[in-house]
Amino acid sequence: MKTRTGLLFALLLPIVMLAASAARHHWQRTRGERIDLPIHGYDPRDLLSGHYLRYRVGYGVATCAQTPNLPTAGVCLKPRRAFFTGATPPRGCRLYLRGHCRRGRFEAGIERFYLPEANGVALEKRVRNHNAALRLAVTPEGEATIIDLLIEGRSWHESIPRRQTD
Amino acid sequence: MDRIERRLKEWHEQGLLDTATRQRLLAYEAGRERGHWRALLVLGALVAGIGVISLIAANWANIPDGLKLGADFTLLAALAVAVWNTQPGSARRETLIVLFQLLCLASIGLIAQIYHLGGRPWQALAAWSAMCLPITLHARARPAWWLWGSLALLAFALAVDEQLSLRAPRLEPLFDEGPLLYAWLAGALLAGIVHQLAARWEWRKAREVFGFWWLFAGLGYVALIDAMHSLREFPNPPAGGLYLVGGLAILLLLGIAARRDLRPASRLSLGLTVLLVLAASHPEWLFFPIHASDTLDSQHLRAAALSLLVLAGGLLAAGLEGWSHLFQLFTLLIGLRFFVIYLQAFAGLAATGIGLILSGLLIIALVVLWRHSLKLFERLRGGPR
Repeated sequence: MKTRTGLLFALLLPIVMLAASAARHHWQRTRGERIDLPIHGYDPRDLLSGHYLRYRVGYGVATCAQTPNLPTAGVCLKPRRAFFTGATPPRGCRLYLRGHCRRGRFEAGIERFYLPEANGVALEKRVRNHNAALRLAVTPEGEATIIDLLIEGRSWHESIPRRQTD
Repeated sequence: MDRIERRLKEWHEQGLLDTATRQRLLAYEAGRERGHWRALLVLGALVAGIGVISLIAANWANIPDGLKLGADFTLLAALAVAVWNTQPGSARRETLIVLFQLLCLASIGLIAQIYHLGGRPWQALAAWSAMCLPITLHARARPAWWLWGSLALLAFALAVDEQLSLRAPRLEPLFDEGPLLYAWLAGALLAGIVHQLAARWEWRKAREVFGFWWLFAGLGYVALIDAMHSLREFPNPPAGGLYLVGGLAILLLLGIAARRDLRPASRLSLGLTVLLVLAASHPEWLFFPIHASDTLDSQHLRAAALSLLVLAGGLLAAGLEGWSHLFQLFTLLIGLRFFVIYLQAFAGLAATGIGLILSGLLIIALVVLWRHSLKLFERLRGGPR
């Protein structure tokens, strides 16, 4: 391993893995089917936790009611909303999200929205007081990537006054 | 003319210093001066660098994602080239390897931030551990190994906690400590397994890092279950938790049994200690039956007996193998545990005083045994390795 070839491999491996990860998420973001899901804050906890916003996603269907903890579960998004346990979506489900149940909540890896520190408080207020939603790109394999945070149907960039984003 | 130069000239003129020594002293002082300038330059570069980072941070939201990723990968590539062009084993290469590892971790964070990934910390650490293992194998100094070993173990423990938590059948009202406790134990056992492998194949740095975490996490776990049993607050094992730690314990016992560099008595002592800790990890196996008539004091004593037996096992192995620092550590911990027993079991001042005297004498006796009369251990160590 301690040869020049080994060193070359050791130096290239992280770069290749990181580039592949970035490319995969970029591909998911551009190729996935777009869908908007409403979000809301959960009182009395602070939505703004560090440099990211935390919220609950409204899937439009009861999730994780019978089993509060489950390693594999999912939510069918199209054509009809339905919660399912296990890795296989129900027959006829065209678009779905894969995830798990933790402490009675369904999580699909879309529970954080990173934001500039300066906009944190303003955005938190808007998520609490306005109709907020996540715009997602969902792949046929059930993996979701966040594209944008919408406030009253508009991108959060447009919702925050210009002077606050500068 | 500098003050030192004036003094040297004066000493030379007075015949106290020959010309050659004066020249050597002048050269030495000139070198020191260059060092000071270099330190100031490094300080200036650091201050400017922090200023650049602050400027970037202030305008972070306005920088396009592609530019952020591009700058990150350019920096990674530049570091990789710098590592490639440095001498193996040099301080510069070792520093660059650690910087490369840290930048890989930061890059994972950057990708998570850009794509708003809501993954768990263990997933990021596991990915980092996998991608940075090969470069860590090329490091010859300790820092890279300590960084990699510590974070890889943390990733494993967090992953175990996550998987056990996701299989908990009930919704705990506040916080379910069962998965966390078993994840801690699993981490300590894995550190022990890797330590045995590293010792067998003479991977010196891995042996050191994982040996430390085996000891540190293991002793921390024993202290934790001691406290939990004392308070009768031991959680139920999470689903699959016992199978997981049981499997890891079997691997660790096999690893200890295969250590030909240890004496049979040491291996036996370590093996029994591992089994004892495993048995105490179930709420009832060693602490059953708990009668309603049991006083809190008797629970304290049972928990103390567990800790003292574990520490005695470690003490015996350390004594037999001649690990002086570990022997002193276990002796100290035994003394501390005795001190706690007297505080818990005999609340009275007089009884505590007697207990402390006995504990102190025990510690002195053990130290004397170790420092001056090693005949017992020599006799025991005289056996086959």
